[in-house]
Amino acid sequence: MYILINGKGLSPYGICMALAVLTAMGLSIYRGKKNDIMMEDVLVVDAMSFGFALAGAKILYVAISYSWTDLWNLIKKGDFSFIGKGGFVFLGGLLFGLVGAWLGAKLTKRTLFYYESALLAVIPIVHSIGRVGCLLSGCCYGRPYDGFGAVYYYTEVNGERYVGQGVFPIQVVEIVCNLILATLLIFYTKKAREKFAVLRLYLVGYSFVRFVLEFFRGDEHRGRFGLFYTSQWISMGMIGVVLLIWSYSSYCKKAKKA
Amino acid sequence: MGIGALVLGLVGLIVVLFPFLPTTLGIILGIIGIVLGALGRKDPKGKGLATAGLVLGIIAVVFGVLWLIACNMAASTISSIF
Repeated sequence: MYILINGKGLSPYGICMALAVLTAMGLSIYRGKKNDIMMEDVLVVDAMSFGFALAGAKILYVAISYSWTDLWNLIKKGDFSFIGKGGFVFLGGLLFGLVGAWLGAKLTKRTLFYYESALLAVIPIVHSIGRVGCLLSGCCYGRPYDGFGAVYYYTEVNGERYVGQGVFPIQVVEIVCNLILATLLIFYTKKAREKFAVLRLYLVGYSFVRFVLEFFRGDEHRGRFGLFYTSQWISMGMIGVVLLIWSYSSYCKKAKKA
Repeated sequence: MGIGALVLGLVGLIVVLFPFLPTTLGIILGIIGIVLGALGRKDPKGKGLATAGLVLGIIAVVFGVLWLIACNMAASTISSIF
């Protein structure tokens, strides 16, 4: 589905991404005000995390979609059109975005924890808006499926499109899961006493959701190592790292008390 | 910082709107414009310029994202349909 303006097509994916950028800014400024954080500081962190997230999401997409040989040949020819083509991988955006947020916090002479309460719940909401774009564009796929809620695409978006065949509404399911996660984060932010507890909840929660949903995505294009898809390995890695850091910091706290 | 924000925000917007220049560069300049604009607003002397740079940076980023993703995706798909 495209909006045609003067014969040029405007993809809903890009429109939703642009909407997501504006919503992220608006929501984070609003939540920042509720937590007595200056609008200017929020914007610095927003801009830095967005820039890094965009780069990270594209880097991971390119790394998964192109072989090193093909990529190197394109770069040698001076053909950088691959940057503008194709999609993005959210997990790459999330990891790089956190680095960007940390740098943004440094620029405002604060810690990342200072912004945790304001900004974290915004991420799954904005992610949902992006997934609406995915649903309308047909990317992020879905396994062949003719049951309740099946989505049917009648034009080919890329080589892997099941034209005219029902696919699992993976984007809709992920939107619902993200909104539930956002609600949990908003409520948990008020109750959390420990540093980065909210971030921990988000990373583990989203990684778990992503791990399960990958079984229904049918994303053969993105590659599989052994039993699991690339995104499932990244999700398991994220859960492992978060739990490891949490265990270590709990151990250090108990050791200090003793 | 205010002047830097204004210049980068403006250049970023021009780069994004001009079809023969790389949109990615416009987005990067817009992001730097937002950062400098937001930090510059804390200084009362350069607040006006910093605000202008901030707004231009935001417009550059939003248009850049719209153009980079929306039109490139559409171009490759429409060419495959026709």
